[in-house]
Amino acid sequence: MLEHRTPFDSIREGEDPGSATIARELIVTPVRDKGLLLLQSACLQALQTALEREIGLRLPPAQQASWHGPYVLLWQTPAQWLLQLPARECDSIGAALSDRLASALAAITDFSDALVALEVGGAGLADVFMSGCSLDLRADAFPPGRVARTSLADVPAILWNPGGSDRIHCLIERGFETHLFAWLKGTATR
Amino acid sequence: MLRISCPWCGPRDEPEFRWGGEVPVLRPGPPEAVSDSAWAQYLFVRDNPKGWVRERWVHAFGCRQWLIVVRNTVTHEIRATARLTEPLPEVTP
Ligand SMILES: [Zn+2]
Repeated sequence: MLEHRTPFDSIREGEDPGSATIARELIVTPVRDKGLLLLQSACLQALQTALEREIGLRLPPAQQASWHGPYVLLWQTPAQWLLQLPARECDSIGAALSDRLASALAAITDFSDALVALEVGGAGLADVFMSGCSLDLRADAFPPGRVARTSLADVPAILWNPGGSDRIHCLIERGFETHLFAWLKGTATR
Repeated sequence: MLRISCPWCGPRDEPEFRWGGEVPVLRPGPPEAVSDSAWAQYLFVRDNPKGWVRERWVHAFGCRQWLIVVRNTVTHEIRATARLTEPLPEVTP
C-alpha cells in the first residue's frame, strides 16, 4: 500500500505543538476529534423538529451557522446543512436523526472522512485568504457565524467564522490539503 | 470578470459559476411527432442576440443552485438575477 503523507500529518501526530506556523503569523491547526454529518432535506419543518429535539439546534438562515454546545450547523444550500459534532457521537446522532426523519424525505450522510477541517488564524489571515477567493473576509464583512461556500486557491472550500476577527475555519475535500498548505505558504510569504 | 449576484449567496466572481445557456429553450414533443429540423432547431440553434439575453447559470462553487441572469452580450452588464422558481425577468431595454 502506498503511503500518502500530507503536510498536516506531522501536525496530527504531534511532532510539533499541534499547529503549524506558516508565515506572517499565519497558524494552521487541524480541527481534531470532530465528525461531520451532511443533512439533506427539503422538509424543513421535519428537519428542524428532529434537530431541536435531538441536540437543541435550530436551522440557520442562508450563509449562517448556528451552534449549541459542541454542535455546529453550517448552511450549505437551501436544502443541505453540515453538522459538525464530537466524533464519538457521529454514529449515534446520525442514527437518532435518521429515526426521527424516517417518515420525511431526508438523507443523512457521514462526511467525516470526506472533508478536512482546519482552523487558520493570525494577523495576515484575511489578506492571504482574499488573494485566493472572491469573498470579502474582513471582520466587518464576514462576522462571527457567517458561512460561505466558495473556491479557495481554485479548490472548493467551506469557510466559516467561529467567532472573533482573527480566525476562520476552512473545510476542504480530503486530498486537497497538500495543495492548500503549499498555497497558504506561498501566498503568505510572497 | 463578471460579478454575479447569486439570489442565495450575494455577489460573487464569475469563476464560481458555470454558464448554462440561453432561456427559455423548450423541448418539443412528443418525440415521434417532431421533425428532424425541429429537433435540430431545439438542439443546436440559439438566438444569440447582440444585447440583452436571459441565461441560466449555476453557482457551482457556492450553493450549487441554478439561477437566471439577465446579461448584455455587448457590455456584459448584468441587470437582474432570479431564482428558477421566480418569474423570468424581462429583457426589453
Ligand atoms: Zn449561490
